[in-house]
Amino acid sequence: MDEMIKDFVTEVTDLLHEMENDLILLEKDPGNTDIVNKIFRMMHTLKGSAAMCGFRNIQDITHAFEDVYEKIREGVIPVDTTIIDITLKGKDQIALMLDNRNDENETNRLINYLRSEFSNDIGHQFHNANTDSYFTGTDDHLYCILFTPDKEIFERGIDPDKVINELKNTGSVRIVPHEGKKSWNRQKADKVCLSKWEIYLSTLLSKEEVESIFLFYDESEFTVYSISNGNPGDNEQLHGSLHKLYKSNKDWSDHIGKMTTGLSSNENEDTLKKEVDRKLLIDTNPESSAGDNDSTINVSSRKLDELMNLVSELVTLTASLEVFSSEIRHPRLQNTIESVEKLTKRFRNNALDLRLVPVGTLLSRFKRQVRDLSKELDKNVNLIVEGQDIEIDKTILKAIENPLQHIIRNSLDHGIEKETERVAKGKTPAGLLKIAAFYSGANVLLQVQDDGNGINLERVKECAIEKGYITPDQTVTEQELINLTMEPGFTTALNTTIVSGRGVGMDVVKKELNRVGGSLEIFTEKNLGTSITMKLPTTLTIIDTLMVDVGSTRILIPLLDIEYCYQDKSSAIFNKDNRYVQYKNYPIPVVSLRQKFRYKDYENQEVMVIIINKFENRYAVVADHIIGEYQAVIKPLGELFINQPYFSGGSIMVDGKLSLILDTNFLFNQAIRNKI
Amino acid sequence: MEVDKKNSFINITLGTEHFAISVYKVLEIIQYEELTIVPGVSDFVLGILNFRGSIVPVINMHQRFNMKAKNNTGKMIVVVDIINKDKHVLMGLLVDEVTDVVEFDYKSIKSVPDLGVKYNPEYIDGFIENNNKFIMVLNIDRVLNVKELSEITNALT
Amino acid sequence: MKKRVIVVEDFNTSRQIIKKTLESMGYLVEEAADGREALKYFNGSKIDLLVTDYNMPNMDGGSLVEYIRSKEEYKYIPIFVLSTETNIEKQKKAKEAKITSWIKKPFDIVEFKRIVEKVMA
Repeated sequence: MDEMIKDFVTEVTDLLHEMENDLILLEKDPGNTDIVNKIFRMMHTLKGSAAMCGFRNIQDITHAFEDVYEKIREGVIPVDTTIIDITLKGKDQIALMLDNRNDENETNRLINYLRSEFSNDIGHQFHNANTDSYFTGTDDHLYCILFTPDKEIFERGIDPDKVINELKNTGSVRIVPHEGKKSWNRQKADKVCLSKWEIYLSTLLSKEEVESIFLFYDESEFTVYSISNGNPGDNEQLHGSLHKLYKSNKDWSDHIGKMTTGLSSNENEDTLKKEVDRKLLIDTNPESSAGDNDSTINVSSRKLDELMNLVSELVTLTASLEVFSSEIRHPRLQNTIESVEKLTKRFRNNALDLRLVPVGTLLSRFKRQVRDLSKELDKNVNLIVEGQDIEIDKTILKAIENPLQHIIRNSLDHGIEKETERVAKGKTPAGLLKIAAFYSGANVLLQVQDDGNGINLERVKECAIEKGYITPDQTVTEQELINLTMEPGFTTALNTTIVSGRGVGMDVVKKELNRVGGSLEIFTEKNLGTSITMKLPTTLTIIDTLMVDVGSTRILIPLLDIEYCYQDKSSAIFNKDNRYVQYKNYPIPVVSLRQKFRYKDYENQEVMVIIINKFENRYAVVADHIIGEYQAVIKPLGELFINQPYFSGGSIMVDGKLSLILDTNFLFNQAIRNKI
Repeated sequence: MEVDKKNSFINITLGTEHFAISVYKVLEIIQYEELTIVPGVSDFVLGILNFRGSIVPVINMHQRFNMKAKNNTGKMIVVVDIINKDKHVLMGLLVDEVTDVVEFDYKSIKSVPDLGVKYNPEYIDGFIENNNKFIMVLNIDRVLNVKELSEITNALT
Repeated sequence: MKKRVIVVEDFNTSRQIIKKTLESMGYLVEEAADGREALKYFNGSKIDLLVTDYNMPNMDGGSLVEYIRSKEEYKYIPIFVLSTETNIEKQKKAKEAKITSWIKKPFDIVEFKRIVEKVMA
């Protein structure tokens, strides 16, 4: 029961995120009927799920929206800013309703507005029992799907979970898994499918559309039964299949009836009320609904840190165990150790998951903000967001929220020009704002770029002289001027209407970042734009690496970045001024790590050439030997090494010794500037 | 100067000089062990080691005090916990010996000008006399000022 | 990290179309003109999808699939096999062939993109 409410809250939160994105897209593309249909379906699904879980207020508001969007679908109401605004407001209200934080008056006003402005039915009564019209979802179809994938389904490269998730997204579902002796998770780990699923689905899709979800499955592996709205228990074939599934002769009409209760909105209000009451009685724990902000449970960061330390120690120990067991070569021991390793990995993944959050959760919030802000500032802005799946530590995410906001605000305020000004300059009328997240060694980079004014460095210089930071005849580089804008006290003294570039708060941004061990880099060009990059540590992450030897140093290279490697003679690679190797008929620059780290040069020996691919650009590094693949728990090197460029972190190995993680980004930058 | 009621200090030697570090800053004293060298940084940082699951840099204290070290005479590493901008930072100090723990009243610390200027007064809180030795009481947070140290560390790049 | 797809097809034009389509979807694509040439990719490095033709010289799609399914690391990766209509009738069902799906040739790019997305999700 608890589970259902928790699932509902998660489902709704996800859906609302998606809806917000879709609404913003719809605003830019009002004729897009696919999006309108999608939003209609979302409201419909929300309504059904809300009814199942007893959220009457959500049920009411989504019903009102469903009606509105039905009319939009029919072409009776056009899509315009008012509709988008109101839907966004509604979406906000629904989010608040999840933990009862909505303003009752506000909600009622909204619902009434929807009904009166867009509805032809005045005096629509909601609380009349037995009123079909309230619960009518005449487009809904009810299906029972028996899903029995073949035991060796995984060997075809498909995972039954994917299909189940797809089904969940098409409407309201009730799933009865028949796992057998092994748990589904165990089965997935062993790559053997022994489960069958009994799925009851209420959706707007036709039977063919539902069947097409099972595209990769053989016809023997699934059957979709259409259950009529009136008598769900009528289907003889279905009864027969259920007999086989349960191996019993019970009355299936009853069973099917129970399974489909609350799914279809063709439900009598009394029955629904009884269901809801029953569920509420069981739910005695008030804390089962969404708790603090966006987390369901509050766990102190310190406890999580402790947990993480324990986890990484466990990972290291299991690795040692594996090494020893391979020396002993006892088959049963080895099997057990293998199982322990698998379990430890899953444990590690779960623990890691606790701390890591996808950047997308933060970035997608900004989509809405940018939209609102650009309206407020009367700017036409195109927002692109990339790398939403990149995960970073929870605390860091929290810490960069404000800095990011600052930066984005500055970009919209001072960076991107108004439409008319842009056109006069020969630029596209809409300004481009790009927020991208990507990995770099053991760090995550978050970049905010715009194609606006750029920072007015002349003005910065003037102010700097005024404030006494530099003397008039002093030569300053561009980078030094940019660094000045981040000095505390410098920016606050500037009159922001005069400075046509970045302005307020950069010193605060820098301070916030430093607090979590991050750093900031700014590049700007007059009239072309500005790019601000935040480098964030991923405090405790595990990455897959390739372990190599260079001299007496053990180096780890993130596997992500490696495209290829091969062996060659050092004399063949490093002869005279030759600084390139041939790869796929291209010359690519090559770095000798030994040279970089000031070890003795190679003497015509076999070396390993590792081709690194970073942002579609390739360069090669040369190491002494490859030791093997290694899953590294990243440890920060510490304050002293923050500005050192070659390594992005370290790792403690099985024997307690340390290895260093190569920062492939730095070398890449050097490579493209031909400094190799 | 802080009026610190507790006053135990560990006594370390660097060459012929003695220094005292407050016990409360010291996490552990370990025997010298092989360090992992970080290529590309100045040898002011002798290397890094694994201390209770964290990576800790080991500083060449002789160099810090501009002393001429004789064939890396350091045998002990003192791991200290210092405060840098409200954050705790761990560092290892390579010293010759850790002789003993001394206790004395903070009031008995004589201020530096009495001694004459041999070391940067910023680093020394004062000195005390103990068994006919002069022991310099270190202000370890200032000695290991992170900003300064990281500049020195990265002087090569 | 980009997902990696191997495309095996002897007719160069078709191969390029498939490759470009997949690249436009954001995947890293490696190509080979027949089964034997494709073997070099299955050296333990990660592969997220194999798209291969059925009839090819030197080593046909069927043998290629059989070979890679025998390797532990590639036992569970998704595989699409391109084939003309008649092939599908004559050959075993996808289930028995241990592949994800047959794709009829000539194929519809929009359809192709849809099922690739479906299997990679």
